Amino acid sequence: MIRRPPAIIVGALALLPLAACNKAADSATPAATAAQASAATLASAIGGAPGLTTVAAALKGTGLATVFDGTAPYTLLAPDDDAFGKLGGSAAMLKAPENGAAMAAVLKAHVLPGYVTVADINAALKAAQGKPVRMKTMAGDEVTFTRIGEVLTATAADGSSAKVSGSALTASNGVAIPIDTVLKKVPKTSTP
Amino acid sequence: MLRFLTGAAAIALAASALSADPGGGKGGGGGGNGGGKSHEAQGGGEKAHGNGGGKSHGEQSGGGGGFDKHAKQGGGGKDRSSDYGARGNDKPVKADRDFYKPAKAAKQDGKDRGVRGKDYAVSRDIVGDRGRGDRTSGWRWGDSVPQGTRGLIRGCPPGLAKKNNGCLPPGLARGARVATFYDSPSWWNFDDRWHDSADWSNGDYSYYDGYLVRSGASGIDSWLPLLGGALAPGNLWPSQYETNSLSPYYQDYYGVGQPEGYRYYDDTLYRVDPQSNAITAITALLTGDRFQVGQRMPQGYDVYNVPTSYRDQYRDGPNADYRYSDGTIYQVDPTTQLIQTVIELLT
Repeated sequence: MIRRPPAIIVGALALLPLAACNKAADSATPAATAAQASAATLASAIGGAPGLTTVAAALKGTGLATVFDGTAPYTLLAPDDDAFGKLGGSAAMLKAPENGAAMAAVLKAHVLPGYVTVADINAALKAAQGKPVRMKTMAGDEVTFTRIGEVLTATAADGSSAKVSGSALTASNGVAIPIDTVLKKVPKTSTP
Repeated sequence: MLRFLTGAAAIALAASALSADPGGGKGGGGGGNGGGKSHEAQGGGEKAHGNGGGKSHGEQSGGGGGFDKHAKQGGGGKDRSSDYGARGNDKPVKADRDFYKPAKAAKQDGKDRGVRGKDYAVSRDIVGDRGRGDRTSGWRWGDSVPQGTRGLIRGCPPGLAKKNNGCLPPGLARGARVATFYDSPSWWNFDDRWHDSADWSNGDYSYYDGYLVRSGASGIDSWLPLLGGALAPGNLWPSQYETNSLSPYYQDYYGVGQPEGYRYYDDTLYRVDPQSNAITAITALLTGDRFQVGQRMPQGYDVYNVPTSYRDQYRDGPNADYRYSDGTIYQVDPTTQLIQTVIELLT
């Protein structure tokens, strides 16, 4: 990947000399070493992950896998296979070919902009001194992260709540964080 | 070497952007985008989620280098693109039809594209409706989009339109099916937040074959194509939606090439075959958020999310936080939460 120099716009409103801004950007000492990301793309990493077979198939089936196969970074709060299992008949309904749009809407609610690791979430929670922290989703809502003890929980705007259920997958262009519940209300139905 | 736009220039440009966006806030991101390599003329700054109407990341057609190529093949709705350049962001693959079959209504042929020429010949510029008046910027909606229901297209979905059955598929007849959770605009996040003039609270809505449709007394009277449904790889782009281009920066960043090769709708970027108008790939999901220097970073960016390849350079510290959105990193004052610097990430 060829990196071109980033273009920067500095505001006088910030009242910072240019040199200071540049210094702030360039000399910041990493507080922690970033996790070594796999060279694989996020789509590829998810595709080979045990326990994420449903979401991997859903990404392919809806055509969204290509989004996670490129340069732009995303974080997927990836419902694990058990999470879809909790939906009962609605899971089959979502997987039905004619309901690809519904599955896409579900997936979109789990996508965060950028590259977010569990460590990043923990750091934000620590900085917030125990208060919840929020991240935008690509569905336009926010997901709220909280931690109680060792349990990291994500809560969607509609009240759906999930716990991080496994180790995150770090890829070249994003992160997949397994969660144990689908973060969008999908009422159980018996008739797909 | 970093490139800066500083001081008074930044303020002046920000001010011009603000003045170009009297609506501000929701739906107001479209007008003043300067395109190119700087974000200085970004209109609004808040999200503008209208279905293609509110937000535009640029207004210049053409421009931007490094364009990709589509193989020139005509007809049909099949994936036939090739060689999308080195970025490889969105290899044009069809959805895995072993898992999902294409929606029936989306199986169109090239004839449907002629509909617009007859019934939707006059376009109106949504941005212009808000007083910006620049008909070269942003998305245009077909004349069929009624006032007050922006986001819906009046008429029958393309697949059904050809059947001459009054646009009343048997499966949607009143009493023929049990309404389910996704027969509601709010489940799809289509509500006043994102589609600001649509009257989503009234009407008999249902999901049908890749569309959200609204039914009247005599059948479907309005429709909206959905990501992963009608808007899935292999299907034709609905002719009722026109587009101008993203700014060259976004064309470069997302690697989509020239305007005829992509569509941007509802915060989703699609690649299309310029000849057939078939969707060949879903390229990117966008937040639609554009912020300016001096603006307060809004809620929803509490967590450090800088791409991995920039983490060594832009890491949170006592003097600055860094947040990413749509191809841009924002340097934020940790105390005031005011945006100090806008950093583009062309790679």
